[in-house]
Amino acid sequence: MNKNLTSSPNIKINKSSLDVYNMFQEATEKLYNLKILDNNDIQRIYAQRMAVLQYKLKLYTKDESSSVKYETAISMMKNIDYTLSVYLNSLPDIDSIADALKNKDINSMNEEGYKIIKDYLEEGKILLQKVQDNKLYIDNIAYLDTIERGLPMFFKKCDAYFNPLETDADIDYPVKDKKVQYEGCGIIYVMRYMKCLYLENKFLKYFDENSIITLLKSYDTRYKELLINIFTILLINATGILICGLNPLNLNLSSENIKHINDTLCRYTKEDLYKIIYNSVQKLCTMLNITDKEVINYVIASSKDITDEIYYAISTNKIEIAFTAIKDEKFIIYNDHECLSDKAFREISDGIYSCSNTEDKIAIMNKYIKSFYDMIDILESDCFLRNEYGQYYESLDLSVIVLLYKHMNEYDLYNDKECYECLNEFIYNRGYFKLI
Amino acid sequence: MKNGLNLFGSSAIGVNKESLLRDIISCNSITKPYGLTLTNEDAAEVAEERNSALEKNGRVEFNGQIINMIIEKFCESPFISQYNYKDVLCALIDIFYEYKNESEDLISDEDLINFMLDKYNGECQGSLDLLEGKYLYEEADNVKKSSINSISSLEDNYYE
Repeated sequence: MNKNLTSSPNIKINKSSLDVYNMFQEATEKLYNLKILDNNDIQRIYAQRMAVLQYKLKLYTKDESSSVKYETAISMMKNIDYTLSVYLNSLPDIDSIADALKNKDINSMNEEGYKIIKDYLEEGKILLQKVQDNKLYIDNIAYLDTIERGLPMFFKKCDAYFNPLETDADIDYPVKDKKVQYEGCGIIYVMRYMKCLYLENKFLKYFDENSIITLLKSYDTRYKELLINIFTILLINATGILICGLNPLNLNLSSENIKHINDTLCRYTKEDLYKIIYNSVQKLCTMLNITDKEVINYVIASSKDITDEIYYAISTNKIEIAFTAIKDEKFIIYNDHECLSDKAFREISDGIYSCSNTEDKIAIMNKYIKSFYDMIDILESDCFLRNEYGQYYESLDLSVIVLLYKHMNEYDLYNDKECYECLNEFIYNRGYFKLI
Repeated sequence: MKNGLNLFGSSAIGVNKESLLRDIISCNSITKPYGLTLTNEDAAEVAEERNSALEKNGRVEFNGQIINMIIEKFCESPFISQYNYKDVLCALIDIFYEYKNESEDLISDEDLINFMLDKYNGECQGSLDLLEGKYLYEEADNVKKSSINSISSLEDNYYE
């Protein structure tokens, strides 16, 4: 074996600078440019690679066809290159990679790469089980679907020999690390993704699940359908709570706390802000008694990204997009009345129609319409003019306004009737959104 | 696509031009009893037709035995004589690759060539137009439909 092929005072390649998913092509190209591989090496590599392709296509077609579509051949070639990249990535350094490309047969590299992929698949199934065991019971669709259906689907469909780079699975839940989320393919990508997910879940397990759900509901009432990273939302809030000198396990940030955070942090530069966030995250790990070094490293490594988000929020004067004020759920007990008979209802609605002024309409409504559903029927029947709805809503108790709003959202009626458009405007103008 | 094919050097992987011509010429020993032979020029033309057909149909060959297979099967046909041997051979090669695509590679080389021979000698009575335009068209369609039905029944079993 030739040692130190890449050693030279002027030539430096770092293995980590190579794209792991494309290592074979990149390494070959760079080593050729550095004259570590020569034309004979390249021709040999090309010829052996073609021989591997021929052999694989023969197996793929079960020796029943002597030709394939061009796209099939290209796909097979890409999969061979991926397998070779997996093998080269398993080598310790660039010298070993150079040595392999110079002296090792491509077919052997392909076979060893295939063994590594099979081992990854077995490790991946174990990691998947760990992810499923340590998942949170939070009803975010993307989160649960990815863990329970998407990731298992990958392991069912993955063809380690002919098609290892295909990621034929629905992996929708976004992890913190955007590079991991959006770059890469095949088994390497899935392993990295699952590792991130596993570490995030481990961190989230230090907090009460109900508190996390309350946080998510406060973040956005539609959290179940959104593609959000739960780890980020929680980590930012926990950091904010520490900055306020409160107990981070609580996750409870009020609007006043958030204002205080804004006032505290707005005077810092981005670099100084990063130091504060970094120290807070470290302190958080200590306070939570996290001993797993991988979790600690993952959480601390997230400091940079959350600093960027917090800095952006502060500099655009929208601190609330970074930190979430917890909204307490208060239950309203509303005692409804019986609906009117059809005859009585018709008489009253005719009476309202015939009124010439708004006050009279409102008086009739308040005197005779006691049932919530009768009220909805009157509102939806356009008895009121557009400019009259606001006055009517003004006369209602806040609990009724809340019920109307929930009814509108539940049945997605916002665009259906004028009365709901006006309700939305009324709530917005009164600032009731903060309460609902 | 041309750039893509250049990725493989040619549309035939691992097939040397000289060895291909030798293989084609070597078939003369099988076809001579039937009064059919190919000259070196004819063989070159057939090889070139094979390359054009592959390129035209967007295919890559990795095991260059098709020409020999077609020659060995069709040499006994009563509708092929020395007069039209090379031209029919070139047309059959073109039709072969076309219908490998049309059938979405669901039919093996041997089954397709056997089907072509059967119909060429039978219903088509030596007409390449009938073979290509009617019988192969129908067969490709049947093969695709049976494949869809198989996949559907597999999925039904999977979801039961």
